[in-house]
Amino acid sequence: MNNEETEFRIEVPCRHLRNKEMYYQEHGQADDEFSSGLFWCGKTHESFGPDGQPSGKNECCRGRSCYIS
Amino acid sequence: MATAKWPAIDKRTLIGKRIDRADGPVKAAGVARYSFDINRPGMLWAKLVVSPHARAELVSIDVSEAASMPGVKATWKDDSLLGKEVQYIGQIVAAVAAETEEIAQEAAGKVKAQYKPLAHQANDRDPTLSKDKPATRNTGNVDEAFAKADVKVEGEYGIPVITHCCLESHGQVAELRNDELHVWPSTQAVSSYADVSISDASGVPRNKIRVDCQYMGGGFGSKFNPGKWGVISSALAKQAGRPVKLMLDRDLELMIAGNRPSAFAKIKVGAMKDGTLTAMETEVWGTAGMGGGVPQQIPYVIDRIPNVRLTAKRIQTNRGPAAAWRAPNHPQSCFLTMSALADTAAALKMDELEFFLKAVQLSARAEVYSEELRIAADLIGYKQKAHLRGDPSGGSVKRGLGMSVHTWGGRGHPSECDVTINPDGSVEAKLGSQDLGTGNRTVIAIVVAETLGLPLEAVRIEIGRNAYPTSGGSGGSTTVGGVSTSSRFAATDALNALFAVVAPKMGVQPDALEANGGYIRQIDKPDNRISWRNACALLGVNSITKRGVNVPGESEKQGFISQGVGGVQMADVSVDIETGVATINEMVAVQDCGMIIDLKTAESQVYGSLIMGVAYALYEEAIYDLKTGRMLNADMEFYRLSGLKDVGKLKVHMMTSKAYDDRGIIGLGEPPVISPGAAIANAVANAVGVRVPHLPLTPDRVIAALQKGGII
Amino acid sequence: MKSFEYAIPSSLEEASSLLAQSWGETEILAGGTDLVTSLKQQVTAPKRVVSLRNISSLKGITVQRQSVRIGAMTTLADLTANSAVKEHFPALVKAVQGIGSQQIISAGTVGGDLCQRPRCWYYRNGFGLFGKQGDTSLVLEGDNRYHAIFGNEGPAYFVSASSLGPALIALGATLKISGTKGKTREVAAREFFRTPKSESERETVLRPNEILFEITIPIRGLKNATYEVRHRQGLDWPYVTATVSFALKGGTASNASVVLGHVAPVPWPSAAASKALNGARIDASLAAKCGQAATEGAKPLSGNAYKLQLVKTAVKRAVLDAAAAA
Ligand SMILES: Cc1cc2nc3c(=O)[nH]c(=O)nc-3n(C[C@H](O)[C@H](O)[C@H](O)COP(=O)(O)OP(=O)(O)OC[C@H]3O[C@@H](n4cnc5c(N)ncnc54)[C@H](O)[C@@H]3O)c2cc1C
Repeated sequence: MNNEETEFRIEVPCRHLRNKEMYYQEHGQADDEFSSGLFWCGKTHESFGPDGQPSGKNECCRGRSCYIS
Repeated sequence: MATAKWPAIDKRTLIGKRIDRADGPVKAAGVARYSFDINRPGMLWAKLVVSPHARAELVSIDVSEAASMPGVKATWKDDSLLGKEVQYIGQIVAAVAAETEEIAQEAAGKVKAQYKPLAHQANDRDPTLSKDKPATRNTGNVDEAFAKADVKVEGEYGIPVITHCCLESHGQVAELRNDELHVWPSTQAVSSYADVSISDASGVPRNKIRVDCQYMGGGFGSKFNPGKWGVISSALAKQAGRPVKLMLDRDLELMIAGNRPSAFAKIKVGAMKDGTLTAMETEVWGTAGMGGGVPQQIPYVIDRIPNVRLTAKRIQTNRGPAAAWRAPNHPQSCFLTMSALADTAAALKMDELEFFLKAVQLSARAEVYSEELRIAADLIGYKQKAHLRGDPSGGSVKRGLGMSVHTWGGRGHPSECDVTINPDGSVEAKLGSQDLGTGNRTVIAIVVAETLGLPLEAVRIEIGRNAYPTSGGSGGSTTVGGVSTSSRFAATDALNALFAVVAPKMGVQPDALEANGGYIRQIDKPDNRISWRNACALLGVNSITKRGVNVPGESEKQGFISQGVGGVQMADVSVDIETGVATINEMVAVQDCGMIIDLKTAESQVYGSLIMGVAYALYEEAIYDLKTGRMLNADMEFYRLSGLKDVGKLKVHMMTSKAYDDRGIIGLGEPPVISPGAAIANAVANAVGVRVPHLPLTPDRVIAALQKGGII
Repeated sequence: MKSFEYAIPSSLEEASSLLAQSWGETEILAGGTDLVTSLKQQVTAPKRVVSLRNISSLKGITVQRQSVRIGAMTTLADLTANSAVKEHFPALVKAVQGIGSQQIISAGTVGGDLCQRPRCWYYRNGFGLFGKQGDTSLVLEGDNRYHAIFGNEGPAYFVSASSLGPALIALGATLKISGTKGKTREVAAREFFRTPKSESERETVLRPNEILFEITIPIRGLKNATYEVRHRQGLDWPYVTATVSFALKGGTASNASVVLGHVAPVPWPSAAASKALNGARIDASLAAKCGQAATEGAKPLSGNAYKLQLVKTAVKRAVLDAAAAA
């Protein structure tokens, strides 16, 4: 595994990304059969971010205009 | 020395008994104060201004006329939305705070927001409206399996969007006092509620935000974050310099405070004559509003069918957002799967119980489900009442039985708890947890009292404040495992600290002592004892406080908690085929949840789930007008919940034998609400002889299915 | 809710004089179970609300030899507690019980039930009495599962919400109305309801400054019953109701009246069903025939054809219930 990959894997999602599992699981988000699959933006308190696009763990990443690390 | 290990079954004095909920009397008497009941001196009322358009560009917001109305003390508007799109009816764009609720309402009507309406999309019934790349899953060789199958059974099923319909709506009271922000929210997550958004809105850092939620009227997964209402009330309180109450009105509660995604599916099942399931192919679609996904746990529970193909298509709609709803995705996946399976049994002309007993062999908990299916069958009188699909007796009222199985995780969450033993003998436990009406307070009291050998009344439970040790939010059925373990650890450590003080006086080593029946005594010489009161007096002026910490992975390894439960439910229904009216005669729920702390509140969770389940099976549906994108029944008149007379007879059986008990604690909040829709729908099909494919099973839908099936 | 002036007159005359000449400017308040909701939802926003609470002559039931007189402000609970009503008009009692909520039955009044506004969800969501957006009928294009299957030529597609209306029509009741300057008039219950043709009309023959003050039901020894198709047992609306009344001699019916509820913008008397009853021997097959006849002329909208089946059943069962009653 080279450094680039490691860097990619530990990329932090936007600090405003929320999902309910964060509120009671040790590491925030387990991707299992019990997760809700629902995300929201802690900035807008909507299921979409300040740019109007949906929130999600694949969506709220570096490069998006409203992303904040 | 006391050890934290759960006491042996025969040694327990409180744990596992049927114990009344601690806050029952104050709730019944109306003394318990919910957020809605909090009234602060000088408090203002806030009302929201929302988008009347399902999709539009927000051009401008003008609050000046509202602000100049007598009695209006603060206004708020979302300038960040200007020039951008509002995406659903009810999306908040502004708010006002005024001396009375009526003035606030009138002022809200004077806020002028201008929009440029845009085309919206509110339809969730048509899979071709999905714009995403479908999610897919493929195991085995589905085509080959279908080719070899004795029967192929196809069906289309659907479960609509429903809302949480919390009886206490979302919101909070906010007050800035001496540089601190005090909030009284209705929340499922006391410790983590004070997040950066209300801190930003109020200008108060998180270490000066005081959260207090003693009682709350239901969240069901929709009350973790402060929400925009939390942010707005904090901002208004700051601006006005006075406390502000902002609780959603019923219509907004239903429109914007969360809902459960819909799921529609075409399912094809392949099976052999003897009921062996060989293949399942599913196309599922539905909506969670603008975000979210589609329930995909199909086949549900019976997930070892060797050949499976699934295509899932999310439909984005301009509707209020989804939020986790009690066991997210499971009720939908369960309903879709169990309907298709019962239809397969019917096509095979096989007894449904026999069919399901065979089907659960393809699950992760074959033994548990088999045992539970047999118990449920006995409780409902299956042998006496069962018939193949279609009640053969004459008359217009047909009776039928149906069943379903479900699963859930429920491992305890991270939790910290302080237990204090005072020199006067009084005891308190503090933790930043919350009681959603589940019995959480009661459970903590039971664990602490049991640990210290005291009666329940001797311990005081302090929860609901973020000033207390951090404890997890109540989601995922994780609370009972989390708080029981942390409070057990804390109480055990505190007791050992007391033993250390008492032991020398009793002439023994601390590890020779135990707490029992209000005494501290020598384990092998019980007559050598000292009363709790006198033992604590030995502390002089200093209390003992110990912190217990639940680290879920560790506690699970040590057997304190576990995860993964199985449950079976059966329904006995009557359907009047001339009116399409389906009613519940009886529901039976058989549920395992590991070691049970309070049998009574555990059973109550299951009763509550059945009642909620009857509601979504027979009545509940968020009805949207496609042309306007408006929810037509955002009230409790046409958004129907079940009343007491509607739920029939409810029987709950908890699996409590040693093998289950030995697993440690597992959560129960969610699992029992997963199956009712499926069990009831299957019972209706069994009664009338045809599948009513869409929930809720209202007269119009039942009649349509009967007519299509040539029954009437 | 918008602020309004609140008036509590103590006589009918005074009350009429406080009412405006055109709809919407003022509203009458009886038990408030419907009006207060409309005020809150701003479906109506009057300048003045005139309460009938202090007009004592509007309360109470007078039983005479040939009729029962019911003050418009009599609560639904008092109505169903009256022994003469229970004895002679089981159809009416059943209609009240169907409402299913002790609170509404205790607070709601007979006059309020008859004058309550439609529950059409487009109307209640602010799209006007006819549920329109521009020229489009949202009802026709949208979700009309609870709307009318009879009398729905438009622009009204809602259903009359009153369950008492059909029962009073079937029982041949007369309504007394008072206007300004103490003037009163009488209309047959059957003539009381009408389908509004424009937004400026309402669902009864009342003028804006008129008050319904009394209901008289003749005691005619008719068999009568109401059957309601309801899903929930608690507070809820029926999908369809049917009230029937007829004289029964030697198993043969005459003087029959069959009136449907929740199927049209007004309570819907079914001439075909009444005709099927008159002169016929009542048995299960006649009842079924009568139910079938009651669907004649129905024109379901896109989403409410299922109501035809309910009409058939409700009428059939009401006929059998009435015949079986002592
Ligand atoms: C969920 C729900 C279910 C219901 N189910 C049923 C049902 O199944 N069947 C049924 O019949 N009803 C049903 N109701 C309606 C209920 O019966 C009525 O709200 C009640 O009867 C109205 O009486 P009120 O005295 O409270 O009227 P108010 O709310 O005071 O008035 C209602 C209307 O009538 C007018 N009005 C009142 N009295 C007079 C008068 N004397 N003269 C002229 N105008 C007058 C008022 O101006 C107002 O427009 C239901 C209501 C709810 C909320």
